Amino acid sequence: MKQLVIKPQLCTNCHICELACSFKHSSEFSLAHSRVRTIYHPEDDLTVPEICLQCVDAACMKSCPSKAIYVDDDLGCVLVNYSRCVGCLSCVGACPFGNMLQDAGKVGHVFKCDLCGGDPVCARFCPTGALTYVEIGPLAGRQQIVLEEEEVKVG
Amino acid sequence: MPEIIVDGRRLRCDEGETILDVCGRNKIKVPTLCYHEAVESWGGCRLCMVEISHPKWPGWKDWVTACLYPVRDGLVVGTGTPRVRRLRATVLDLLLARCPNSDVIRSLAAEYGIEETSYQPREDGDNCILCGLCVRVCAEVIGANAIGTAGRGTSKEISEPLKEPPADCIGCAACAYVCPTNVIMVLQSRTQRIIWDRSFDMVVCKQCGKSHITVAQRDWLVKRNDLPADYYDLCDECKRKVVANTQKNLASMKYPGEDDLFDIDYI
Repeated sequence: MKQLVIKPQLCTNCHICELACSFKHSSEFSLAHSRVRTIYHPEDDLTVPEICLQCVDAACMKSCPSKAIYVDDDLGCVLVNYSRCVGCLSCVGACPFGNMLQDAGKVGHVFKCDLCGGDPVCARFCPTGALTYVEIGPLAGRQQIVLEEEEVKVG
Repeated sequence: MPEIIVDGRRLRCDEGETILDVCGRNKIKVPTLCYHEAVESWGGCRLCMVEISHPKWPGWKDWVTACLYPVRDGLVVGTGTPRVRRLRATVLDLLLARCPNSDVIRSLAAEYGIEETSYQPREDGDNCILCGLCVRVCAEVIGANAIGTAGRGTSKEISEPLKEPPADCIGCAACAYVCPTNVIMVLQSRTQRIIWDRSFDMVVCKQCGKSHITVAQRDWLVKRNDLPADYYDLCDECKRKVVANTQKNLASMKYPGEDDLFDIDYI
């Protein structure tokens, strides 16, 4: 199964991932519509792309009172079923990382990374490889921090 | 596994599914107003009427709400027959009389050839079509039961209990979100939300001051999901900044004595 891998030290703060994501999902170039958000740290000159971590035991899913959030096991993706969503915004605060986003236009409408159904455009367009969509080895969990040859499971 | 035929297509069904479930799975469009996947079907709006017949039935048909009728093997369903279209047009004609100012009802009625209602339009009414979605979502999804219906017949309306600001409301505004005709009014500022004539304080981000849920909803979530009381202290944007800060620190860590950066990823 492929996973989105993020390497902050390769990110150049170009925002192409955000523009590609926004265009794919809303046919507009607007950072507010992007599911990936880059955060720049001038003190270290480092940018971190933030995106849904597709948690194994997703807090958003557990907090949803209408069971509108589910996991697509084939894709390894946490998704929102908009036919079930009632717009209560419980999931927005539930995500410990702030990756469930609210639509500035329609109040109550939430959105998150859906891995573009299997071909994430952010990874496709990232010019430096800060975002890649690659096969992960058999020892990997959904979340991990790789320290050279050692693989350490986190969460 | 029962099999039904919808508009000439043979479709496999699961036991206990409704006609609407099967149509939804197979992307066959049936119009609805009072249906929502998160709550029990009610069959109140009558818009999802479909024509059914069965080889075992001696030459007669029936017209039923797709959202409630359970499938049975051999059922033959028509979602767009002339009689079905006439039934839907009648429903929309009546709804247009009830809510002549609703854009939603107007455009739906226009799809069935109704530009003006043939009945006496209701004057000075709001756009509530009494679909009951607000009440059902509040009862079944949120569990607050803050609003309900009052009166019967022509005086039936959606209302707070005793027409007072509802004590059980948590101000989540899910009722307003699911309303098909956008009737329920929500007044929103950074620190306050007013809905059903009740004023709610908003949870304000400790870092930046932005808000998205009410204090009442926060307390409800903390209790319901057994969370620490400060779980909702930061908004999503500030939480992202905290995470980014951690990742930045990790990404810029250096080996003692090494000049190169660690190859640190996070997934």
